[in-house]
Amino acid sequence: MNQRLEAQHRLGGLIQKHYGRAREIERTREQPIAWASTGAPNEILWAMGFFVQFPEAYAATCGARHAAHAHCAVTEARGYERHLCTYCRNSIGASLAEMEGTGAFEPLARPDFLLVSNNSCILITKWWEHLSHYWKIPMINIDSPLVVPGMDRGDIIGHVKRQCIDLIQFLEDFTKKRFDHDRMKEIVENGKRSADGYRGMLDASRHDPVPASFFDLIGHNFPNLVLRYDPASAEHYEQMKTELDMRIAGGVAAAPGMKYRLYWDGVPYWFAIRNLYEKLRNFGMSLVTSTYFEVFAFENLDPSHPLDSVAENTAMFYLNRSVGYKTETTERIFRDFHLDGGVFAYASSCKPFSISMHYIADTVRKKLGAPVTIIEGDLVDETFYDEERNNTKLQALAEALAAKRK
Amino acid sequence: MKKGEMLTGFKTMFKHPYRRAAEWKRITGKKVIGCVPMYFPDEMVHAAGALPVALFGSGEPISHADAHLMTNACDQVRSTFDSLLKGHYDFMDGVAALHVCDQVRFFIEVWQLDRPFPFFHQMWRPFKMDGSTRPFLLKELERLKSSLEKLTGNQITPQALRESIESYNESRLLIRAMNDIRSRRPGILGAADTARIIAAGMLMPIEENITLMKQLISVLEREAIDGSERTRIVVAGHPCAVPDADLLDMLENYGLSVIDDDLFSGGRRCATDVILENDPVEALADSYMNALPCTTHHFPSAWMKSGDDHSPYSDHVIEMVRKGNAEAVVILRMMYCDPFDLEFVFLKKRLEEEGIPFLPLVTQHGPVPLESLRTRVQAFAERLKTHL
Ligand code: SF4
Ligand code: SF4
Repeated sequence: MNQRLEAQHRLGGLIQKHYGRAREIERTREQPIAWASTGAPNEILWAMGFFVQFPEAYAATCGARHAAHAHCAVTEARGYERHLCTYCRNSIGASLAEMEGTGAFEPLARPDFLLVSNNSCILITKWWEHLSHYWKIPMINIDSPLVVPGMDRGDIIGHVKRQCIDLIQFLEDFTKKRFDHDRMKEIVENGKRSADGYRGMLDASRHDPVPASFFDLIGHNFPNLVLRYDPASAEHYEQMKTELDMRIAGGVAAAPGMKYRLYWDGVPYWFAIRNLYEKLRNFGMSLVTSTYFEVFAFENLDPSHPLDSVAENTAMFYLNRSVGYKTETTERIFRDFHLDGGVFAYASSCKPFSISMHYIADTVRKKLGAPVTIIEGDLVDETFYDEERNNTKLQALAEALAAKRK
Repeated sequence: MKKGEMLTGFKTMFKHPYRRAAEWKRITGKKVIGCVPMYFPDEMVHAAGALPVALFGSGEPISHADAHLMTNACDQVRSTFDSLLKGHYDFMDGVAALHVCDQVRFFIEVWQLDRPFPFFHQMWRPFKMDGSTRPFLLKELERLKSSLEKLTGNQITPQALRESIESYNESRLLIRAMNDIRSRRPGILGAADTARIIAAGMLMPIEENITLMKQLISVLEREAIDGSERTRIVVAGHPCAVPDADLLDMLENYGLSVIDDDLFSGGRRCATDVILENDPVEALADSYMNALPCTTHHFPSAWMKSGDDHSPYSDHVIEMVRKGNAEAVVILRMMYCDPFDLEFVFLKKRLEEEGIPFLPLVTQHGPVPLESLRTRVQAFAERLKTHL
């Protein structure tokens, strides 16, 4: 394997610092703690002085550390069906375990407030209702319609903005503090710089050979999601870009000798990432990029219109876009990143990612002539994963790619 | 007409869901729009001079859909998609849906991309119901109005919309009257018949439905059944689909009488009217804002307080039990319906706290494997009898 990126060490430090700080604040209560969903207008929370944690990111960590199955099992015993989103069940299970003192895995710091937007899915609001119920704390949902052809972009943004204003009023009451517009502007500025840096990092993968693989980059969603309010996030991406550019200039590949450049669709199976990486590499296939990164792009931030742009960011969140839009984005990525084929990772408990997957994979195959395969598993609960079956599919993909190249 | 004949008529209509709509289209030359359950504003389609029909899928085995759609979608979604692929909706002029849940909002567009209809409309009903989301709902109703006007070439005037709303209100009133008779005299109308009558009403012109319902009610009023021996129960769940008739019959064969329900093809369909005070589009928006608690909406005021044990939907079911003087609840859970499955956890807890006996039954597409449920239903019915 190639030498580790310096950025990986730095990322480890940022993550550690964030969680260390969370523990400290939980103790001192110097800041209120919010749990928020990825696509919520979180700039408002940061501007109001909240320390924000992300149950979805936490689920991914639990998945990668093989702790999610135990959390999910806690919920099954309480009547939650096994087919329900395992991010959601992980989060509820971990919360219940923490309240009952039975948790074996480092929990998130206890929340005071919950913010969610149904722009990733509708289920997530129900998930937050359950968190609100168990933690006995208030929640606010920001309603954000699926952006379908025929809707007016301005109407949708206005709809989200009205709710952002309500949210600010609620939080002023809740925290007994005035909303600070200057602080908001500063946060949006930091966020914009971080989002630009994030895009720069992603774009480096257009190069052949790819300087950092999908697996190398996947953890780097964290700063843009969790820390974009802080200049440390933008700095991280800026330094990373320099490092990637040096690799490109020196002709250094993420993994030498790869024959095929691949696309990944869907949420990574966190518990199986390493295994998948090895498997694909053995077949000469390098995973280059994914529309999954788009979820963390936060590209509409604009410090000259802080609140409007935060509303726009929420309204135009990638998961909230139509199937047609997602298909076009996937096609564009195939072309821009010179991809040879794709692995579509069906997650049986996440319907939003999975329901349209068959259609998107089929369109890519037909329109671009790119071989694709749909593997099956789930987000964080490894009991859904059939390794042998998926390996056979990956092997078949490698054969299809080889046959095409002949 | 006799009650038996009428019930057979509804049964036949439900068995051949689109026969009447196809015939209507042939005779009138007007448009038929398939509306994905739930909560689509049929009144608007009617006011445009078109016929809205509910897309319930069918009881047929799912043979085409699974190759396109992954198998973790709910039966309602898989079965309607299957009907589409089999061509059952080919005679329709278009399809419309309100994004009631994730499955509908993501799968419905795949329909249009895969098998385009000349008319296709997706509508957002805010998941969060409060003053801040009402303006956007109004915009969505206006957007629907103009796309229907474009399709039919008919202008939807306030007067036309008002008249359509009045017709639908009348139909809702008649369903409520029927439900009231059933509640007062358990056994007079089986649960399967009730569900079929209400569902059939969503498959025919509303004017015909009103005529039929009036006839049915006058027949029921003349019939002498008091049914006081039976155990009164409430049925909840099964969000978008019509429950399996054999399953409902089985409940009643064990002496349980459904006196009220929370089904889309039941009490939920008729519970609230659209109150016509001013502008009819505004009135429709208000009716959504004042909707009954449902697993597919979020009521912000219930969740903005600290430390409360809140579940508006559970409160609603418990209220139905109390009001109807029922002994128990049977909860029909459609496989893979995420919104309901999450709500179920709260409902279960609340019913336990309130000491209300309940029986959750998970249903799957196709002829429900009744035998596997029979023992549980029987034991539940016996347990209720011994406690009474
Ligand atoms: S998008 Fe998928 S993973 Fe995220 S909350 Fe919704 S169901 Fe769960
Ligand atoms: S039954 Fe449930 S999952 Fe299926 S369409 Fe209705 S609300 Fe959605």
